[in-house]
Amino acid sequence: MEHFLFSLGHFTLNVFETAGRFVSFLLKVIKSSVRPPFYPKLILKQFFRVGFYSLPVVGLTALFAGMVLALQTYSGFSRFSAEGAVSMVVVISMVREMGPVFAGLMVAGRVGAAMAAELGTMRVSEQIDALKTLAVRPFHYLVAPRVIATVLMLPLLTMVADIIGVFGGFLISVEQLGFNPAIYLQKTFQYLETIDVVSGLVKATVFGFFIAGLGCYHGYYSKGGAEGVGKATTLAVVSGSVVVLLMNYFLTELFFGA
Amino acid sequence: MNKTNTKIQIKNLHKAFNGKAVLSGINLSVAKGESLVIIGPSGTGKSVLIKNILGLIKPDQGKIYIDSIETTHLSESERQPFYTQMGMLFQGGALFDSLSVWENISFGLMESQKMPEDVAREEAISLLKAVGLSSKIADHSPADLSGGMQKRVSLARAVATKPKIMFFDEPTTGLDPIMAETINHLIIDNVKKLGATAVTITHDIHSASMIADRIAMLYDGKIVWEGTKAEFEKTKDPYILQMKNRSSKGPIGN
Ligand SMILES: Nc1ncnc2c1ncn2[C@@H]1O[C@H](COP(=O)(O)OP(=O)(O)OP(=O)(O)O)[C@@H](O)[C@H]1O
Ligand SMILES: [Mg+2]
Repeated sequence: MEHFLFSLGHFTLNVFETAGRFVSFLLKVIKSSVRPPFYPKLILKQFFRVGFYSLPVVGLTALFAGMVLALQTYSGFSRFSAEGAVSMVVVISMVREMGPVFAGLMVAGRVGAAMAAELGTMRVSEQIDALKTLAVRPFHYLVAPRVIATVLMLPLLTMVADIIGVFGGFLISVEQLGFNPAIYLQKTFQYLETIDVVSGLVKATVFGFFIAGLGCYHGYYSKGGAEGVGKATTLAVVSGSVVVLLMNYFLTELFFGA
Repeated sequence: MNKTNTKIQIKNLHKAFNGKAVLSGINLSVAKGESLVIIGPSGTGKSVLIKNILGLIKPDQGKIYIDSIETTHLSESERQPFYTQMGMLFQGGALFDSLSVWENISFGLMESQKMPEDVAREEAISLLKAVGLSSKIADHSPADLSGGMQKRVSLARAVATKPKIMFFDEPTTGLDPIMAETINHLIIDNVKKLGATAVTITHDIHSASMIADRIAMLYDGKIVWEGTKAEFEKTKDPYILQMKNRSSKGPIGN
């Protein structure tokens, strides 16, 4: 019993310590993002890596998500003759949920992992220390550009995902389920409200901050050679994906909760 | 030693990792313009010692003064002015693998001294030649170079900004004897010409007696011997004798 209590205490302390360290890391990230020196060239480079190169995978997942949404809604709603709602369900699900969440998960896998691996390698090979001795501050030079780029790019990726997803639903509805294209499109936009789109983009912004924050955090504090870097990469992806899903719930509650 | 003439002073420095003491009460000072060489067996904490001076590792106890200013408790931004006058050659090179060779060398020139790119490139190429490398590798990635070449690029990067305090962690390890000699001369030239203060770690006794004004030996977390180059040559100290004779008999290792 005593042993159990001891372990429990130890575990709790560990959790608080890690949480505290992560929060102070995020505060430092924010501080170094808004204060000079700024590195616009590095931010631009990250724009490409986070945004442009994520387009194919985000586009592909969004396309299939939209397609499956149309199929499922049709088959479910036809049970009570509500097939007419397919276009609304597709667009609302897409912009509120599927767009930001799928873009977030894909970016957590692609970008969060890459950030953890890069910074982790730089840490264990002393490149981060070398940066400091050359009078360049690693938070400004390495972390801030990555976080800024992800925070700005994820909403854009989400917008692309929204459009492609809606298009996927349209494709299936018109080509396979026999909807009239003009009426389908008209209904798509008829009931869509600004808040649906905006809430999705706000979600994406928050996801971007945490995905890049976690990727950089795990990389920045990794230790113990190649094994440590591998662990950091795994942790970045897992924690990034979990945070996307948890945050998604709470933000939904915030926007649409009763 | 005159107080104003002291560049680096270390007082009662302690550092342990996971309960294992590495440095236990180091007292050491380096005068302005002096070249100090630290020798000692592998794993005694030589690298840890200079990382403490640089502020890359936080000491558990003790104080470090640079230009008579206590630096142990400085924040990262307060430390910036010190870093602009320091240069460090890391034992493992620590070259930026996302940048080319010349961008590595001129990194400090471009990022902290805001030198224009074309001038910085010229500067990098002349430094490449100074460390005995061909300008042909300027656009290569550091990963494509041999270990000895990486070390020399790293040395070029460390001295590029003409720092007032230079740290060299095993500058000649892994180099052939002829190249090692070139590097020794390069270090002497840089230190003497610029009037810089230098702290060099080495296992190479020959290199130590070439570079050093003063030599200190670190063993078991403490400075066990310290003296001028002339004293180093004459001393009958068992630690120094054992290092010089490459002997397995003596106080080290027992
Ligand atoms: N970041 C760290 N975390 C834990 N232990 C460390 C760390 N850095 C160094 N050590 C330990 O401190 C001791 C001294 O290491 P250090 O690298 O200073 O040795 P050294 O004297 O430079 O040896 P060498 O001549 O082989 O380079 C070693 O036992 C090492 O394992
Ligand atoms: Mg060492």
